[in-house]
Amino acid sequence: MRYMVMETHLAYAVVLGQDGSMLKAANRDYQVGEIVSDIIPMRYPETSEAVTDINEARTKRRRIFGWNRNLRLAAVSAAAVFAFVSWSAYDLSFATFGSVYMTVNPEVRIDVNKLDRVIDVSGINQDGERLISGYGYKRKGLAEVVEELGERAGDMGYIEENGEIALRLESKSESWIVEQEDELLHETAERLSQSLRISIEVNGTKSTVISPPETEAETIPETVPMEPETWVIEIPPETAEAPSESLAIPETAPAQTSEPTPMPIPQPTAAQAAPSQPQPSSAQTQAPAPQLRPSAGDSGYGDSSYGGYYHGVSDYGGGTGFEGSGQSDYGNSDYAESSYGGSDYDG
Amino acid sequence: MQGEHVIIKEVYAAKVDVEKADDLIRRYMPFIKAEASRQTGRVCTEQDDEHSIAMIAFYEAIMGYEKERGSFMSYASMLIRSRIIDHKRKETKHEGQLSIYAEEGEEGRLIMDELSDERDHIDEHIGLEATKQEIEELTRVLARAGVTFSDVADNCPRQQRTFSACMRAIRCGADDGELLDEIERTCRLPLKRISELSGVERKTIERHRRYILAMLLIHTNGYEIVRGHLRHILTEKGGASV
Repeated sequence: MRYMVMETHLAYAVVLGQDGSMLKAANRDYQVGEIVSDIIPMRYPETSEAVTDINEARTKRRRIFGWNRNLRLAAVSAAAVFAFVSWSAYDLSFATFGSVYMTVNPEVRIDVNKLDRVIDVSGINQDGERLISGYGYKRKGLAEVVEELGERAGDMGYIEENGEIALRLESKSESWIVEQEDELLHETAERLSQSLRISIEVNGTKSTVISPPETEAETIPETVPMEPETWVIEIPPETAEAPSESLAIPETAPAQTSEPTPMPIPQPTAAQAAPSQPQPSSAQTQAPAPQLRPSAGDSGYGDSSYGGYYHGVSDYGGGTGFEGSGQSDYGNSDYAESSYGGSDYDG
Repeated sequence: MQGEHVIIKEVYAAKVDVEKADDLIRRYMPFIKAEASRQTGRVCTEQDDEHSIAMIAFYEAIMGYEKERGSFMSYASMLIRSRIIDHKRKETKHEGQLSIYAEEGEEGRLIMDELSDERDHIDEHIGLEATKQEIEELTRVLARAGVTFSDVADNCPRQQRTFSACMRAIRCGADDGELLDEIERTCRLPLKRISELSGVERKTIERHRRYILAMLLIHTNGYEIVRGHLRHILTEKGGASV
């Protein structure tokens, strides 16, 4: 087959095959417009597309029957049972039970099945696709994926200091939303904020707007069904660009705000009650509960008394008595180390 | 471990920024050349195939590298090594046989080109320059949609099943003059319409929208040469069973 050279770069060229395929190949001194035949195609790392396709292929089932009556009856019954079991398995494993939209600037959607395994990760915008390209989510847990993607965004330069990650959760099951919100806020946000010093917002509202933290005091709202909460996790700026991926996690659980402790954020957006800004360093090994501020702005909580929420930080069991005034807690962390080694976070 | 951290950060930055990737590759060119030379047993120059292979292998390493895989340099050199070895294997398999791709004759023309083929004559007449201009125009149009050919290549489906589905979508789309006009005008893909026309799942089209957009643009006016290069796309009995 012959290929037409469409674009050339130092390390590769893009060629168009006669069959319509467009691919990258080694640049053997090609000129744009040239027709070549002997190409050395580039090999792509396994992508989420490939994994998803493979998974989809594996779920197909076909059955053909042609037996006598009794046998057929038995077979049909068995098939029915089998089908049900398969469906359940499918439903458990492959059906999307919930989705998390993560926006840093690149936006991605993370689909999770009933068992809380990530079954798909897709980029919503172009930066989102770049962010997940090559990223293996192979049935990892949701929290793990959120963390890793958050880190990845930091590495790739998509998040800047004081940048934000917004998480929006969607699911037919409210309890799922509540649970995930909880875990994401407490654990994931915590860990991420330690290395990245960004603010993470878990937004329960349906809108994708990330409302900047406005209120200083936020109270734990009473359980409001389907009211999204926004968790803002301050992440210390590290890189210049910060495409954000929004993880929209609608949360109905009481708004909990945790601040990423290891991040010395110059000015916490939304008047974080915790005044102390941890110095920018991602090597914080302690895990003060990140403070997430539910953003009252877009959630219609309006009348809930959010005041004094920060005082409740210790509820998060951050373990460091991370009250608003806990400045000294930050003081002795060794922020100087960079955490590129990523050893703390490797799954 | 300072050095390693710096490299890792650079690699991750290069994953999303083509210029940074080029810079990185240029900076590590001595390393790349050395690795290639080590594999071939002789000094590698820019003319050698092995050099091109090593470069794209390094590029693959940048794209495929994850922190968990250990040191980037060892990952890259492993990749370079295996790609060159694969290539060597392919070459030795064909040794002794005169490939129609081989050069022969004083002007170094491919044997294959010498074989009588009406299509070849047409190709020769068209010429490199005209083709180049079409491609440049296409590049400009795609740029308006914020897409480069590299993006399109990355977006092209690699699974045969998905690829066929996209082909179906493209064929059906290409038959619809109005659709093509709209695409040309807006530089965006009307996902729903294409999905309806071709019966291909919207999700699939959405996933590969950049690739499909580029392919459909090729079917608008002004890209006759490129279209001519694509042999069977339209001759397939895709007759939009709409």
